[in-house]
Amino acid sequence: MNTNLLSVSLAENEGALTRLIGLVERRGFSINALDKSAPTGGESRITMEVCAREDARRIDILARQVSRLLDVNTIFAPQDIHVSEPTGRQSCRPQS
Amino acid sequence: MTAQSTAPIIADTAPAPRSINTGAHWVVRTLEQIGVTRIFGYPGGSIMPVYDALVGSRLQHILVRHEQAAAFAADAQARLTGTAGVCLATSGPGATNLLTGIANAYMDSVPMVILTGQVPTSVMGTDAFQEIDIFGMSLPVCKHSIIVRDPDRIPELIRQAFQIAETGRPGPVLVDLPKDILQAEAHPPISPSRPKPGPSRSISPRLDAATALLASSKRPVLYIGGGVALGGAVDALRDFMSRTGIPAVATLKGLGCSHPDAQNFMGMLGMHGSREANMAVQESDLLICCGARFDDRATGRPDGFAPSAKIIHMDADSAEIGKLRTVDIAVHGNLAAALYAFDTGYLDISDWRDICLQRKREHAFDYDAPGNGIFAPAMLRQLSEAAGDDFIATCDVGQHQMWVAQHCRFNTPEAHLTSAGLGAMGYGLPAGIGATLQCPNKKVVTITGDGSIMMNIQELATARRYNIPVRILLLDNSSLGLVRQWQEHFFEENYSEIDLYDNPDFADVARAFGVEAFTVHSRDQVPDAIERLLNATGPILAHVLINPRENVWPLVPPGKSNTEMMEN
Ligand SMILES: Cc1ncc(C[n+]2csc(CCOP(=O)(O)OP(=O)(O)O)c2C)c(N)n1
Repeated sequence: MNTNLLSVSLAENEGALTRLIGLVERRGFSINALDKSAPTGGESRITMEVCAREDARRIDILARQVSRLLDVNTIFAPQDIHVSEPTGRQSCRPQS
Repeated sequence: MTAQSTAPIIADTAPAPRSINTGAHWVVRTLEQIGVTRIFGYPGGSIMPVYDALVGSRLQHILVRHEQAAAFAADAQARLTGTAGVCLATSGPGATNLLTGIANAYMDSVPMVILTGQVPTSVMGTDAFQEIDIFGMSLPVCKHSIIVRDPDRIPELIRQAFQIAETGRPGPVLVDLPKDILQAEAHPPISPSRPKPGPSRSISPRLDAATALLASSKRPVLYIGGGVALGGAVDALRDFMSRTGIPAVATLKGLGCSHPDAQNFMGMLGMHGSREANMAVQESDLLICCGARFDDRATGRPDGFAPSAKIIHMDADSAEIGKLRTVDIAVHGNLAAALYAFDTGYLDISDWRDICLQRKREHAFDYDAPGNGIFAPAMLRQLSEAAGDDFIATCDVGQHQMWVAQHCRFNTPEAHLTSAGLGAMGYGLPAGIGATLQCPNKKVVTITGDGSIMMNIQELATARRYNIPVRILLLDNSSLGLVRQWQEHFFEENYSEIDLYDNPDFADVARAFGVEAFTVHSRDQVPDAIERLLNATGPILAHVLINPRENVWPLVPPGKSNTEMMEN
């Protein structure tokens, strides 16, 4: 099975690490290796080696799903992963 | 106190004047400041400080009879307003009862703010009475979750919850409120009023390539999903459809985006989609996916879905693009802007249109059924025609839900409230309550089955209590119809636990709750029944007996491609 490295800078919010790990597992990846730095300036760096449980689960999609998390400030994905801008910030509230 | 005191006893025992600056008061005050007018909830130990602060507040609190219903009702209100619905429950069982409703909002991208009480911070993590890690349990079904640990931050964090729920791709946000934080004195800094983010107009610059692909296409199809309504792109979509004449199909959540009478609208695709919709997709050489996500109920077997089509995928959420189907061109960003800016150039698709329109005529649904029994598809068609553009359907889950999708006419996506992604039985009645409260002048009808209504039947009490004129159309086939249909076709008629022969008399049940009710047995009673339902001024239930053997057609068997439709 292919493994990939995924590295993110994570805000030190309550539950942020659980949320990140839970998302990776839930989206069909196992975590082979995991490293977390001590926080500096309210942020820590997480690096994971992940492996898809099903061939169809793609690392670039996972990277974009990870980038949707509010605690994830930056995602450092391998070169071949294209992570586009975060979801538009427009509000669904009717503009008055 | 001296023995001679003449002061009334009460003065001695009365508590000191209570602070109006507790965390709980700030919860209520913040909701008021944000502009929330109605919340759905149920009290209990840990959330009691908030209930205390609610007395005298401008907020209308609707007391439901099960927390799941609070979440479903808030969900329906949110779908109608586009702003976050709010529900409230206590810690432990109150919070866990909300979870199905939260998951429902998550799956359908509905903005919602969920406030839960929690045990005091001093005992969190000790298995205290009614302590459940609702924060942890909510993570997979929430866009974001927050535990408030500083009373002074209550306004800021609640505002943030609304902001997160309502921006980008909407979703539920949970705010867990420990009891000691609610009871503590709070002196939050004056928070700025909520910033109104302007709509992002940006789109990724791939439209030129999309135009070129469309120009070379002979058989394009537009595939409409729930993202069109979420992105405020209904007008843009209708404009695009009439500009180009491209045949269009919709998912369950995409219904109502196209004008229902648009000639080039082929109806719903997928498992219970129309033949003309599924065939158009299968034969297309270019699928323009607009705010949809290639859900398995829509695509059938993925490798058999639009096998020769190139894909243009337009979505506000980049994580949806390419998730299940490799795309040729991704257009990520504001859907309305993208649709307006989509220069379609010169299109020569008249032959293709003719094929699609011809098929649409040939496969028009036949509403004549033999006998005097009530044919549910025909009744639903008549109901939606009688209610007209004021119609709002809130559905439960099962055959009746699919009949609504197939046979009712929706002129806006908000007219069709259905549990699409989660498929949660029990949604219909609480959603009907939320929708009727929000839109009292519309004709809100809850369409339910004899299985589904029992999942939240206690909400008849809520409808009665507030005299909410929710109109309930209960299609009773004395069985879990959709499961029965699958057992009939895919489990060799080995019927297992689907027979509800011993249902109560639902009209009697409704009356016991103080809700007007009547039973409809035969086809000639249908017009009067519809009129009575639509003209009701209080809650009303029509108990409609239908043929237990009726099925939903067409049907794409699970694991098959959409061309392998079974028909009656
Ligand atoms: C909470 C929940 N439990 C189980 C199911 C599975 N399920 C889907 S449809 C259905 C039968 C629904 O029966 P009814 O409400 O009577 O509707 P009908 O299909 O007869 O129209 C069941 C059990 C579900 N969707 N939701």
